[in-house]
Amino acid sequence: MSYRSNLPQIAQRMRAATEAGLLAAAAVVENKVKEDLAGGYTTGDFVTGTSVSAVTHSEPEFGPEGPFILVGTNLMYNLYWELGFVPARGVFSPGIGRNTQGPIGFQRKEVWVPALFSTRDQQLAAFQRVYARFMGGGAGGGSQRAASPRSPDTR
Amino acid sequence: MSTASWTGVLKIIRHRLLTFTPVGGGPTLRTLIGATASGSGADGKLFLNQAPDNLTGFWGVLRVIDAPIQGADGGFMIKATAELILYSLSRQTHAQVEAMADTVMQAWRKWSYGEAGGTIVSSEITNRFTIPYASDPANREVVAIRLLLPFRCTPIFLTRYAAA
Repeated sequence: MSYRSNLPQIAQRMRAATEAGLLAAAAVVENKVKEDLAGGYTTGDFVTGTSVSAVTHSEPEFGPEGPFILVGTNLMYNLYWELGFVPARGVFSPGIGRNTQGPIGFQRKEVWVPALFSTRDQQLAAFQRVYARFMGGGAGGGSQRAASPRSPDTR
Repeated sequence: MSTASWTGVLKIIRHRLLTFTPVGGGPTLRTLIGATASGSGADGKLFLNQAPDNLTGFWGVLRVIDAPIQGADGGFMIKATAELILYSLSRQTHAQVEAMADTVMQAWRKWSYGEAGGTIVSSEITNRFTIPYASDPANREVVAIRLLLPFRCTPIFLTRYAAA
């Protein structure tokens, strides 16, 4: 009787499951960000949908500190609103040469980081659900016992 | 100042950042950032949560952006992340703002605070980022450097219930 290791296949399946789980978790964050961006940053009178449509994610990666996925945007002004900025002259106030300058105060409206933190539980749930499905467990079937040479697979 | 309140925790952190003297005798953050004539910035223009709108020169804003209670320690430890952003309204002073950030990183390194019933322990800084104000709607003259300062805290307002 010879022994055959299934470890390479299991490792490959676990990697695929992790990637799928990360995509599911990222989708939770993306959806929350899009929901919160839909109303715009100020009055909502100037919403074009550009910010919402620019929300995207990277491919899952395996880095030195573990697997990760990025959720972000390529719009610089989203970054300015998230971290805060002082508006340039003429933005949100009359420009030079007008009768009044108007207040040019510090502006900030956080959307991305609160979305990341507030959806922690949902991210984890999404990851676990998808991971279990990929590994053959979870709702809908699949063996609930670890495979063993002594116990026949009853699926 | 004590960990009997969350504001107290922030004030302890603020005091550490403002008064730390780098090895070799360099200036403190309080010296670099300046102070207001009166009010909450009188001991250094590092404000908690929000800064006044009429500031000039340099200033900083310190706040906590995440404070989950995690771990198997009875729910007495908060693993928080503080956000510090250092500002200047003049691009010419960029190097000085970077120097302030250097001082903050030194102050945060391997720092701990302890009192009867309360502790604060810093963790390694996870992010230092110079915000690239390069286009509208941002004023390009503004310099802002953001640092994320993780720490663990067992505040008195939680640990006092340890025996309950």
